[in-house]
Amino acid sequence: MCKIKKLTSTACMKNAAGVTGTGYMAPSEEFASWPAYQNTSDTLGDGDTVRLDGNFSFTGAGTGNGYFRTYPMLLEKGQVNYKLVGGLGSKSYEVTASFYVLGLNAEELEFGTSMKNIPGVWLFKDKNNVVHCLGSKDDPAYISEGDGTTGAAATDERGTLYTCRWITSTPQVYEGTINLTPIA
Amino acid sequence: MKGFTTTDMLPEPVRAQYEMTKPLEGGPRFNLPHYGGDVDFSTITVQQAAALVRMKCPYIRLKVLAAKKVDPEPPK
Repeated sequence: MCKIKKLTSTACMKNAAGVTGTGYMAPSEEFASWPAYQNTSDTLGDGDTVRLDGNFSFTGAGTGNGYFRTYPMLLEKGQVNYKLVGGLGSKSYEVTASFYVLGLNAEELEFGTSMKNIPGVWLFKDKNNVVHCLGSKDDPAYISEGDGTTGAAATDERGTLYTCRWITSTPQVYEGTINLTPIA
Repeated sequence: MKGFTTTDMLPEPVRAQYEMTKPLEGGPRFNLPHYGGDVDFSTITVQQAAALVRMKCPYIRLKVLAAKKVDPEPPK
């Protein structure tokens, strides 16, 4: 039986809702390897079984690749959800992340065209600096929904709401560097 | 070291006081989620480097100054 510790409350806990304004995405095929979970002890309770160990590696991804592409996300329109799915005793996490990209110009439409079918790794940093990682090198996440509109009235928004989806038995929290420089 | 951010890539005023703790794959631009966000190690200022060290960023540190050489006393 695995060792399970109690979950304790944190004094003066910071627990702001929402995600920050920049999203990160890299095609899963560009990763050279995938970090293991920290798992520093065999005792569950301190988070190390869901924290990835170290930094991502993009060695060999090729010139112009091997980095996280960034995109702006509209305030208060992004969130990451963890939903348990499956039958009794067979539960997995359905992790979804929704985000709103403002604008419906050629650049934003091109972004959607590029992202809509690509197997990828998506990072979402929440307001508590927890970086939620969807997808992995061999088990990528995909865009599952996209709903764009020009809006009809001046009170409407013009842009696209995307949802990224990933199924996993164990969530991933990433604490390493996010490389923003393509390989030269 | 191609594909890695090393001490050599730090600006000269920063390199005089700080060094990378180890070659960091990728860069020189990173987002460091727990250490203030976007950082470009090729254009970082001394103030930014100091702030990273204060935040206990594991990738950069103050250089250990070489021990001051002391000539031995001549025999009496």
